[in-house]
Amino acid sequence: MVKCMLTITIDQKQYEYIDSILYEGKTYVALSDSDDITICEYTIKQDQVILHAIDDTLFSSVKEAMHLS
Amino acid sequence: MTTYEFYINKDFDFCCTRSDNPNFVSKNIAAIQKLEYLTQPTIGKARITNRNMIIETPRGSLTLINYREMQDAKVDPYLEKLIFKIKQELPKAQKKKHGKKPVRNKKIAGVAVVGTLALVALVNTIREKEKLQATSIIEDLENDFTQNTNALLMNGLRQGYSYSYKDNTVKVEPDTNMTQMENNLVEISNQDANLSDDTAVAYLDFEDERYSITGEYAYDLYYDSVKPYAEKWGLPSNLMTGILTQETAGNYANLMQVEFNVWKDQILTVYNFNEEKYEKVVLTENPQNYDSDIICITRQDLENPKTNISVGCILFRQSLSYMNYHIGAGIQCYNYGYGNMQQVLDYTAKMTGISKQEILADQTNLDFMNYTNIVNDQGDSNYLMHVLRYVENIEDGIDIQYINRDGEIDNLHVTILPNSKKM
Repeated sequence: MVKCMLTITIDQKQYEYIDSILYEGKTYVALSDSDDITICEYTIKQDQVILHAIDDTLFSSVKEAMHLS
Repeated sequence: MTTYEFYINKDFDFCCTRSDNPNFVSKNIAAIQKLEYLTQPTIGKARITNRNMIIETPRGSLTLINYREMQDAKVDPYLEKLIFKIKQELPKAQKKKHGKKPVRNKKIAGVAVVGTLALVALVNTIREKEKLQATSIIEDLENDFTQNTNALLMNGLRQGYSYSYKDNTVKVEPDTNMTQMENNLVEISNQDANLSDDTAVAYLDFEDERYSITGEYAYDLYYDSVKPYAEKWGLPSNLMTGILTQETAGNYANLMQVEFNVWKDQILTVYNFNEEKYEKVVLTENPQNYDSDIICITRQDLENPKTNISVGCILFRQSLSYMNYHIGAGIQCYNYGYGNMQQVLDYTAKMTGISKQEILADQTNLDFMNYTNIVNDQGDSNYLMHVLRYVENIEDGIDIQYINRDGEIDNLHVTILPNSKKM
């Protein structure tokens, strides 16, 4: 039995977990696919990890906080 | 590469065994210091499975078996912090791996299916945010991977299978760790036989030179300076003054001959017997890289005699822990270093038929001093005798304080006399 432990799959597309932080009261995760890195907000509700899109201004701030610049 | 296993035994001791000598078990402070040593200065890769944390460092590959149990059991506050720190290393490794990729806002949204390791990391971040509310979620998620791992993994966990993690994959295998741990427990109970024996007397070939010109000079100048630091770190003042006398006799600024480059950037955990708490100390040229709770000592600081003596005491305690608190071996190790002493002990075990574990469990067994010369040009092969000759009141023996398995201050004792004192 083999299963990838760092993978985060959404809409059948796989990403790899890089980092997660608490920033101004909300939680964000950095993910990577084969081409680039992206960041989104996440919450956990009823045992489900839900990713939320964020606007470009917040994206820049979180990117800096995660030292991904 | 040597592999190390860390685990908690049935007596709630934190233990360490190494693959090349599974019969030798370090426990509690010695095991924590071993873990600390192995994880400094860097952690290469840290991987977390359901039960174990597997870490690869330049100094070896180590597995923390049932690492959550270690955290829950609160074996040691520093151990908890260390495991937390190791978990923090994961993002660094990931950033390094993906560091060259551009960062773009792809505005991803939706419900995700998350791998176990990523899930633990995400939950840990949530935990920061809502510690109390998250507790139930964490327990649910960490105990029930049905969303993220399939039923086979869960069945494996329940039926005594273990997981190994390699190349970003999990493999389910029959659990052999418990059998190995049970075997180790036998060794541990044997090892417990003699840590503190007030009647322990051994003899070596040396003569008392405490009142020689050299001894008088060093004691007059430095005994009063050594005393408070020796007491602070649970060591006898006469022994530490004996070491200082042998090292420099007060004739050089680096009184205790501290090898800055050897110890540089290794965080040492040492018990402060005055304040009854553990302290973290590091020799470094970059104090700004360390948290404020770590005592940083620069090369320049070592020019202060008191600091130099204090650091010498700390490094001697480190040597003692390497030698499983065998006092004679610890003294020789202060000069020879861990690697050379391992060679000497291996050779002694081979020649005498007594295992290293048994040698180090017997404070009066100094057989290894017959074989120190197998290490050429690496130090003073008679260092132990050269120190003992300067120890005042050697006939009263050497007493060293340590923290026992119940977390209480206890005493190690041995008397090593000149051969001429044999009845």
